[in-house]
Amino acid sequence: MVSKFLRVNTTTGEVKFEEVPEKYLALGGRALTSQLVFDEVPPTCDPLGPYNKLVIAPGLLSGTNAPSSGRLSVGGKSPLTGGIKEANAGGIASQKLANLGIKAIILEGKPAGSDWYLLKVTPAGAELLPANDLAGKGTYEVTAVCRERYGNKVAVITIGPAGEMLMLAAGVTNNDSEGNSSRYAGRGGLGAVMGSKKIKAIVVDSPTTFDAPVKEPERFKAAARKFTQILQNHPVTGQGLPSYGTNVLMNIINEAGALPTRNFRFGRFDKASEVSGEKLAEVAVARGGKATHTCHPGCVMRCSNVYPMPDGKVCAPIEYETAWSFGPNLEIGDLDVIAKLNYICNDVGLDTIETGCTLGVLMEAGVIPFGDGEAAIKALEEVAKGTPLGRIIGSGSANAGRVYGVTRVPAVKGQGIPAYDPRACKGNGVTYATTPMGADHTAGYAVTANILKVGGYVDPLKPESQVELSRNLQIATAAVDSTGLCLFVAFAVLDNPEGLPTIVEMINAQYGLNLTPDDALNLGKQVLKLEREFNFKAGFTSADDRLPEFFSLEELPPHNVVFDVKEEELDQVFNF
Amino acid sequence: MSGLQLKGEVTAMARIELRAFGPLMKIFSQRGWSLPLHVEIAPGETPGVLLKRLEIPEEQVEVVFINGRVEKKSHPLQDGDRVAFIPPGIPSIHRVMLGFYGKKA
Repeated sequence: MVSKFLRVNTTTGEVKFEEVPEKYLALGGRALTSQLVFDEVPPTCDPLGPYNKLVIAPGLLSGTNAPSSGRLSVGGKSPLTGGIKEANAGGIASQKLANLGIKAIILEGKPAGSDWYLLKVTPAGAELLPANDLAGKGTYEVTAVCRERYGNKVAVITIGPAGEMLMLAAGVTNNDSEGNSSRYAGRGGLGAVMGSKKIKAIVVDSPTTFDAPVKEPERFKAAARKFTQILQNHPVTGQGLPSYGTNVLMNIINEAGALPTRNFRFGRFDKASEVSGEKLAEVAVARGGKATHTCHPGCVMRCSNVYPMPDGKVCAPIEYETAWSFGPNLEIGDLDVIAKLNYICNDVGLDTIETGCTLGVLMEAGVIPFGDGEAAIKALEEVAKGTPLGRIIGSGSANAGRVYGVTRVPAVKGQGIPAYDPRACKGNGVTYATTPMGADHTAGYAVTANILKVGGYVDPLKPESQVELSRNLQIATAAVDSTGLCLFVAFAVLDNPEGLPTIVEMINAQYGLNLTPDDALNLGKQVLKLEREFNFKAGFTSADDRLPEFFSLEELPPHNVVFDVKEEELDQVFNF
Repeated sequence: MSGLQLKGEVTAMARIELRAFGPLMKIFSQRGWSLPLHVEIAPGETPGVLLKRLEIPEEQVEVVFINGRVEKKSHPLQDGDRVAFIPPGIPSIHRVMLGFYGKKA
């Protein structure tokens, strides 16, 4: 099977498969989406206009037996930040696309009419079908209808009403094996880009999950088996994540005094334990849910969960960053309220981090009171109705701040800051300020052994050495984001000298290449440079690589620290 | 264990506030301990010594927070410290950012 691009011209309705040009053959995931966006999208274009493109790509290893390799990259010019964007999701679509030999789907153009379409992709080919009957529906219903119509094994990539209404915080979702439409490429408003192309859903029907083409199957199998062992033997991937998922971080970040509380006013929340991963696991299991769950087949880390809500519906999963955005950030100490807000976001099609930040800004403005879960739910329900308040909520924290005259807006490049306060963890602050993505906790996530050797211990409360740390983390992360591997493999890879070589061995065996670990890091550098160049051409300057002013003015208790990494130093992050 | 003479008049025990997370919470609940647990210590007692005294297996504690900072298990404790035992396997980049690697000992 030859891998191909599936290009959909939404202006003309033309759907065609193309041979993949040689320059893209060794790229996948974020490396591929960012390269295609760089090559094909004019940086100054309107993100919701005909010249922007939405690129959906599996990672290099997706659809094989490589463990935890089913991550999906979605790229384009972000209507939220105005810069380049790659948003990354779990779910089952990535593996299915890779099994159909599809290296990327490219949605381009913009239809003149108001009709909605569904792109159906099967082993027999691809076609655009009318989908006006799905318009206005939430993502859970769209997914259920498509699974009923096209078979319960299909993957459904879709947007909710927020994406249809071109709201700037709209995400692109796809489903897990049970049909929960909750695996979001959430950040940066790419759901609005999909909405601007009038594509309500993409149904991917593949009879296989793990049979993406591999050039040297025996060699690949051996490396994949070894990598599975590396993951299973590490405490993070074999023990921590499979027990409590990502929300085990709630108590830890609270303990560190870095848990943004009441719209980033305090670093600890007195009800943190009430919304922690430990509590979540207890409640979920007591109600017949699951403390652990996979977002895609073949993941050994099982960090997802299934949380049954009092209304009989199920929220799967509640991730740490979402529990934070609707919990401590709003001074809400009730998991049921968090689950409800999470579910509404999933259904209406909004990024949970951005929406939590936006609700925090609305609480700061006094529109709704801090700590009032019912008021938050009621406000969020306005989004599906498209009321003025609903549209403000769907437009992100920076816009809400402008509308209500709030200066304490936690956002960089227009994108809301996630669950780790940059004052108490300054390396994160550097990443939030400088990543081409806008404030993003996953942009500096992977780490290589040389960083620890060179950097040693970097005090999270002090400005020294944070720039070098963030730079190296961002490079390593860009490389991992291109493989289709989940970022959570990072620590097993870090702590085992055979980790990175084994990943490279899998890629080499699959594609018949001779890459070295250094090549992987060079790929990371190349991706970051491309992304940054796109942003410069789109009009960004170093003034965009800054945190909001209040982080340098207001001390964060309990450590009573401000963000004090110098601006000249921030400007050195991309010197590599 | 004897208390420490303070200001030459009172024999006082120092007290810390102890928390534990993840699977370590089960040890606390099985033993009927509150969370947080107030523990009397001799000033200067270290988290490593405290673990032994409380009969918590050291391999079940990857790092220790003292007053919101990751510190070595040999770091002396003081009266009023807020201490937390962290189990192995906590995910995310904060393993590096907060010093799980640099302060492991």
